[in-house]
Amino acid sequence: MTQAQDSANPFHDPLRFERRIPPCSVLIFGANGDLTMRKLLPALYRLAYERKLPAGFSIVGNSRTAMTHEQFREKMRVSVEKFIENSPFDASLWEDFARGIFYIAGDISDPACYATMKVQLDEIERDRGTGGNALFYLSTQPSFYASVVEHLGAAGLSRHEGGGWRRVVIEKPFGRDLASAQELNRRITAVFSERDIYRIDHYLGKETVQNVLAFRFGNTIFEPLWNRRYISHVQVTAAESIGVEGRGAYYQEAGALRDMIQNHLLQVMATVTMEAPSHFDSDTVRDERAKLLRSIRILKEDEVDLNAVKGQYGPARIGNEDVPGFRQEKDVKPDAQTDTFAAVTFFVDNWRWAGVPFYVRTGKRLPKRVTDIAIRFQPAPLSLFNSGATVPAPNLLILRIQPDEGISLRFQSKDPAGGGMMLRPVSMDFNYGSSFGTRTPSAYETLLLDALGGDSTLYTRQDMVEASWRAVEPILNHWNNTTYNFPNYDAGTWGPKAADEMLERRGHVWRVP
Amino acid sequence: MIVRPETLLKDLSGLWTQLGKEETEGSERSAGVLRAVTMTFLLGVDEGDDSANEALAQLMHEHPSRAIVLKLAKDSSAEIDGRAFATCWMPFGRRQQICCEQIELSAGADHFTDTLSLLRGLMAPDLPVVFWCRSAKLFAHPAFQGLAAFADKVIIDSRSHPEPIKTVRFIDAELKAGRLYGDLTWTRLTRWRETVATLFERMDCKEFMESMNRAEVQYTHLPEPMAVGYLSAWLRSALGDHVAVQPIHVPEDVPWQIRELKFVTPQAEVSIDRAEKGIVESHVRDFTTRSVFEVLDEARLVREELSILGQDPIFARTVELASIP
Ligand SMILES: NC(=O)c1ccc[n+]([C@@H]2O[C@H](COP(=O)([O-])OP(=O)(O)OC[C@H]3O[C@@H](n4cnc5c(N)ncnc54)[C@H](OP(=O)(O)O)[C@@H]3O)[C@@H](O)[C@H]2O)c1
Repeated sequence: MTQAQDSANPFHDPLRFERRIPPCSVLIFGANGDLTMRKLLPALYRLAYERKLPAGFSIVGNSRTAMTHEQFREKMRVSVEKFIENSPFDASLWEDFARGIFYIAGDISDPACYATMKVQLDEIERDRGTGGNALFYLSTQPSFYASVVEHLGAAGLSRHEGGGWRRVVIEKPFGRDLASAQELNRRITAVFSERDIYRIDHYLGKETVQNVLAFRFGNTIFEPLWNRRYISHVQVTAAESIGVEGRGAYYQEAGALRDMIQNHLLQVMATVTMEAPSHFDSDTVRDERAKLLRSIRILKEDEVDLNAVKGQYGPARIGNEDVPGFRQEKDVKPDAQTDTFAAVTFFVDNWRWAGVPFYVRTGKRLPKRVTDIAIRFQPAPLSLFNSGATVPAPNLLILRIQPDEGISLRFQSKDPAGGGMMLRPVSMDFNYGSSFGTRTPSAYETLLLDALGGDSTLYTRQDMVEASWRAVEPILNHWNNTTYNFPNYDAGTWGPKAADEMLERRGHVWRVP
Repeated sequence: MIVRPETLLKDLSGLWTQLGKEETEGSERSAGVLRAVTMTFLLGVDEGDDSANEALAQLMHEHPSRAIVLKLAKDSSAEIDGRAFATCWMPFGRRQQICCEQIELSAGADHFTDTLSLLRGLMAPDLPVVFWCRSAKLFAHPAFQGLAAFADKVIIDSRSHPEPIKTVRFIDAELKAGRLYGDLTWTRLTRWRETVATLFERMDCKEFMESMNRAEVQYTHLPEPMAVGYLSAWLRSALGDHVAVQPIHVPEDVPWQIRELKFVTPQAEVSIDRAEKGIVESHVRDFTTRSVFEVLDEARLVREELSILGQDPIFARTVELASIP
C-alpha cells in the first residue's frame, strides 16, 4: 500500500496491525475447483477472521456447474470448515462473510458470462461499497488463461471508470515452454499493465523462503562467505513421498522439471543467490531476482546429458504397502515418458558464483517429504586433526523450508571421548517454529493479502518467468527428443543412479536430508 | 539459606545435561533437546497467583526464554529463596523436545530488594530483557524501579492498579525519559482500533470523515474505565481538534466495558457495537459487517507487546493525551 493511502486513514497503526486493504471484490474463475476449495477460500476466511479484510469485502465465484448463490455458499462453508488449518471456525462470522459471497454459473468461453459478471460487480460496488476495486483470480485450466483475460478486456472489466483498481492473479503453470510463456505474456499484457498482473508462485509466499532473505540480508556474518571463494556447492532438494494422487492426467503432461524446477526451485535458488537489493520494495527486489535468473548458464544440447537427469519411479514395496509405479497410476499412459524425478546442475555466470555448481533435484515417491537448501562450504585448507585418517566434514549450512522450518549449521568439534584431537561434526539448530511459536500464515494467505494490498514483491514478473523458461528449455527439448528406458528408480528411493553419478563426476555426493 | 547466582546457574546447566542424557537414552525417534533462549523474561507476581504461571507456560512455547519469576511472598518477613528448573514440551509432529529454563526467586516485601543484586548475575547474556510486572503490589514496592532498570521493556496493566490514571501518568513520564513501557489496558484495545481503521478504509467513509464533528465512546460500568480514557485520547489524536470526543456512560449489565463507538456528522452516523459474545458489528447506513473479537487471554496481550521492542509513537501520543486531566 502506498504512503498516500496510509496517511489518508488516520486510524492506521502499522506497528500493531497490518496494512489495511481497501474495500474490494475477488472474482474467482474455477470456483468449483480443487484449489478454490482447499486453499483460496480457507485463506480468505482466515484473513477475515484476523480482521485483515475490509468491510464490504466480496467474493464472486464462477464455474460451469449450475448453483445458486446459496448452494455455492454452503459448498464453500463445508470446504472452509474442512480445510482451514490451525484456525477455529466461527459460525457467526461465517454468516456475515457468506453474505458477501456470490456465484455465477457460466462457460468462460461465452462472452455473455462476462456481461453477467459486470452486472454482478456493479451491483456489489453499489451495495457493498467496494469502490469498483476487483481482483480476478484465474484458478481454472491454464489453457483458458489468455482467453479469459481477453474476454475481461473486451467486456470492459479490466478497467474501472470510477478509478477503482483491477488486477489479475494467474496460477501456475505459466506456459509450457518459453514460446508459450511469451505468447501468454503478450496476450495478457495487451489487456492489463504489468503492474496489475500477479503471477503466483506459492513457494515465494512461504514464510521460510522469505526468511532466507531475512537471514542473508539481516545478518552480516554470512554474506562475506556467500561466494565462490568459500562455497563449494549448493544442493536444493524438494522431495515428496507421495505419488501423483489422482492428478495423473495433469502430471503426465507437466513432469517434475516443469512442475517444480522451472518455477519454484529456480525462484528458491534466486533467493539464495541474488545480490542484495538497495530497497525492500517490489521492483527492486524483483530486479535482483530477474538479474540472477538471467545469469543462469544455458546448457548446450551436448551438455544436457551430463548436467540433467530424468527419472521415473517404478512399483515397489514400501514398508508393508505395495505402491504402484507411475505408469500404473490412474489416467497415465503405460508408456509415459514423464519425468517424476529431475535433477539438474545449474551454474550462475557472474563474479560471485562462477564455477559453483547448484544441484537441484525434485521428485515424487522419494523416501520423505522435505524441502531444503544445503550450502556446503569449502573444506579446511589443511587437515590438522584426525591424522589424515578421515577428512573432516566441511561446514554445512542448511536452510530448511519444510517441514521443521529452520536453519542448521554443521561444524567440527573436538570429540571428548576419543582422546587426542579427534573431531566430530555437530549441528547447531535454529528451529523457526519453536523460537516463534505463533501461527505462521499459509502461503496463500500471504499472497492474497499482498495482491489485495497491491504489493507484488512475492509475485513473479514477465522477465523472471521468461528467464527461467530459458534456463530449462534445452533440457526439455533434449528430453522430448529422447526415449528413456523407464522406470529407472524404485518408489521410496532417492532417485536414479544417474543422479548420483552426475555429482560424482565433480567429486560431490548428495546429502541425505 | 544463602542464594547465589552461580548455584542457580549451575543447577540449570546440570538440568540441561540431564535432559540431554534422558533424551538420547529415550525413544529412537527423538532427536535431542533444543535449548532455546530468545530473551530474559522477568515476571513479577504475588505468591499464590497461579494464573500467571499459565500465561507464562503459554508464552514460553512461543518465546522460549530464561524466565525468572519474582514472587512477592505473603509473609512480608520471608527471606529470599531461589530454585532453578526447566520446562519442556514436544511440539506436535516434531522429533525434538524444546526446553526452556526457569528460575524462581521469592522474598517477602521486607527483603524483596535483595533480589536485585542476584538478578544481575542471572540474566541470559546478550539478549533483551523484558519485565512483566503483573503484581500491583510489586509495582508499588521500592524494588520496582530497580527491576525496571534491568529491562529493555516493562509491561504493566494499569487497570489492575488502584488508581489507573496515576499509572498512566507514570508511564507518560517514563516514555518521555526514553524508557519503553507497554500497558495491557491499551493492548486490549487493538482490536477495537483495528476495526475502526478497517471501517474508515471504505471510500464513502473517507468523505464522511471530513464532515465528522463528534465521536462517542459508550461504556457500561462506572467508574469510567481507563480503556475509555485511552480510546478517547487515541480518537482525539487521530481526528484532531475539530471533532469532539465524548465518553458516555450507558449502564448495562454485560461482561464488557466498551459497548459502542459512534462517529457522527450533521447528516449521518456510523457505528461499531458489541453484538453478541465474541462479535462486533460495524454499521454504515443499512450495511452491516461483523468482526470476531476472540477471548483475549493475557499471554496473547503480552505476545503483542513482545513484538514491539522499540518506540511506539502512537501509544506514546495517546498516553500523553490521556494523562492530561
Ligand atoms: N489444485 C492444486 O493444488 C493446485 C496447485 C497449484 C496450482 N494449481 C493451478 O490452479 C488451477 C486450478 O486448479 P484446480 O486443481 O482447482 O482445477 P480443477 O479442480 O480441475 O478445477 C477447474 C475449475 O475450472 C472450472 N472450469 C473448467 N472449464 C470451464 C469453463 N469452460 N468455464 C467455466 N469454468 C470452467 C471447473 O468448473 P466445473 O467444476 O463447474 O466444471 C472447475 O471449477 C490450475 O491452473 C492449476 O494448474 C492448482
